[in-house]
Amino acid sequence: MDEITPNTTGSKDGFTDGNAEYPYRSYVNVASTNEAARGYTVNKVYTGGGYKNVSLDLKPLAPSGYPNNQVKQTASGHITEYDDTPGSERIMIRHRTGAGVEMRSDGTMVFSSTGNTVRVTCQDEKVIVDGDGELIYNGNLSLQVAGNFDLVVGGDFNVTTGGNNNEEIRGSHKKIVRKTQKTIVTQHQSNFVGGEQTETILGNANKIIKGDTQQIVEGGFELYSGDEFIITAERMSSISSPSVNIGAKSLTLIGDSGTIGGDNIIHYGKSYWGETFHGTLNGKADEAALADLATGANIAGGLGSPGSANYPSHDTTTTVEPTAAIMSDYLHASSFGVREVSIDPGDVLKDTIDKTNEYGGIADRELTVSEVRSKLRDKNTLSNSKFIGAMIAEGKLNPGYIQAVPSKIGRTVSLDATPQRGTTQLGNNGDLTKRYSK
Amino acid sequence: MIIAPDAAYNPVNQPIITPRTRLAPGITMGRFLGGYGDKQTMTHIIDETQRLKLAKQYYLQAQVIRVVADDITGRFADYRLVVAEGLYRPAPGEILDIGSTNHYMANGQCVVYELIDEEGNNAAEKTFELAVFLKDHIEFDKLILDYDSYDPTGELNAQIAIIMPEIRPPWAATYSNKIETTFNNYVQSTNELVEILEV
Repeated sequence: MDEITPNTTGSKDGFTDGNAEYPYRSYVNVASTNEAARGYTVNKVYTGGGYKNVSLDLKPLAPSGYPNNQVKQTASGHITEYDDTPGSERIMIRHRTGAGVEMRSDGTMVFSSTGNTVRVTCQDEKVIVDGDGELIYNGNLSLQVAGNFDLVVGGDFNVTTGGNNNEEIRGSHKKIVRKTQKTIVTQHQSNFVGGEQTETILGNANKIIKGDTQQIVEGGFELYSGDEFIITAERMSSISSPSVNIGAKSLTLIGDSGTIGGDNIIHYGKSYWGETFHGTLNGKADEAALADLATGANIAGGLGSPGSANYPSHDTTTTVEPTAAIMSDYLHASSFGVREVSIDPGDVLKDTIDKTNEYGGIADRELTVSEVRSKLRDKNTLSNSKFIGAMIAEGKLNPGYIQAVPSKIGRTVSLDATPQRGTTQLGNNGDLTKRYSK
Repeated sequence: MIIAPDAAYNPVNQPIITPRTRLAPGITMGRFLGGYGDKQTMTHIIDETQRLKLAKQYYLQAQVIRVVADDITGRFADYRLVVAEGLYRPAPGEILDIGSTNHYMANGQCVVYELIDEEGNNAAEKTFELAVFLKDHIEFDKLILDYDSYDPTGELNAQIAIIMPEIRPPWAATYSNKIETTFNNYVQSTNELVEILEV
């Protein structure tokens, strides 16, 4: 910057500083060469810091060495710098607001906008990044692709959605999982299929349900098994239909009490074992056979010779009588017995996906350290020993959280307005001690 | 005090309130929902009146961000002011203490900010200076300079919670301008900002 003579007269003749603005306070009674050129200050474009756990990875800028830095600073504050200082070679074009472009000594380029950024490419655009990338939008992001959107990820693809995930696919959806797939739904799941659904499982399939289940089929319902088919219920089983067919080459239908048969049931069998028979018997009982003894007697006249008792042949084949004791063994101690069902007793499995119990009702999922901090702002949470214990156990909370007083303090400021050095020049007298209060 | 909102960003002038509702240049409602410390959505707020009320509260918070961004001294130019905690949604079984920070965050009155340096770390020292700056440059109901050692590493963490007064329709509010310093949620001072250097 050229040497400018301090002027306080406000002359308008065009040869002096008409607004009594120059030199700036920092240039009074010193060389007018730009401070950045002399290495007293370092100008850089606005970066505004990184993001939580995201570093900008910018190396500190070293001051320039005179006379290697060509600095041009305009009246409003725009700056261009061409710095040839050994080890700190860089180029910077900066708007007075801090927006600009900076090419640093290590080849790093910084593009900064303190307002909006508009980038228009009328034809193709290629972006190649050999290293890693971080994209952070503190607001909303909308991405519109008119054509196809192809995404190829060589490693893992992780998506965390804080709210809902709404996806509308107007065509077909195909997903191929080469290894395993795991889906965890803490609350409810609902599938609606308007057409046909086919599920083909080439291995085993297990469905474990802690509550009730209902399968309602308006049409036909068929269950086939290539091997054993077992149905047991701990309390009761009911099958009802206007027509039921049960057929077997070897059939066992037993119980220690109950009813078999009906008004129009016809029984076929080889041998019946029981205590009492009611009704009409078409056949010959042993006692009825004794009546044959009387068939030789004459009805009138002398005593005739007796007849012979023709007993029917007996099949003495027996099976085990299903007494109450035997049925008890059958139901509870045999391979055909009722399977006892107990799913996730004590909700141990459930608690692994729903943390509500484990966290004392404060959260239903695992939390980050920052989320734990957020929760602890409430006194009720601070006194929730279950939550505190879980967080310490998970390594999400410092056990020293209870410390009430810090070990070292520094500055203190009262509620009164803080004296500040003015940012706008008050006069042109070079009085660096001028202060004002809000 | 009667607040005169910028007509271009006045939520009352917006047909519907969504995370895209603009509250200030470059600041939308989404900024206060996406706090890195506790991300939330506003899908659970169905009532449009409640959404508008929330937007009006966040309009005040947007001015806080603008004040810092527009600071021409450049003292915070190398730091980023991020929303650490915005809208708070209690878990189904969580009962909030009335008057707690979370209670105010649940109705949009409070937002917790954090200052991040170029390395992505919490800038505790600069946070104190920011608290002083805000104390002098904005109106609020309560400003809490909040330090804690909750991080499992035991590192000191500094944040600023700004509680704005509830806006009385249409745009009236009473600012108390109270300040407070806390450490691990224990109040260290009221009407005074205290810089904590070590845990």
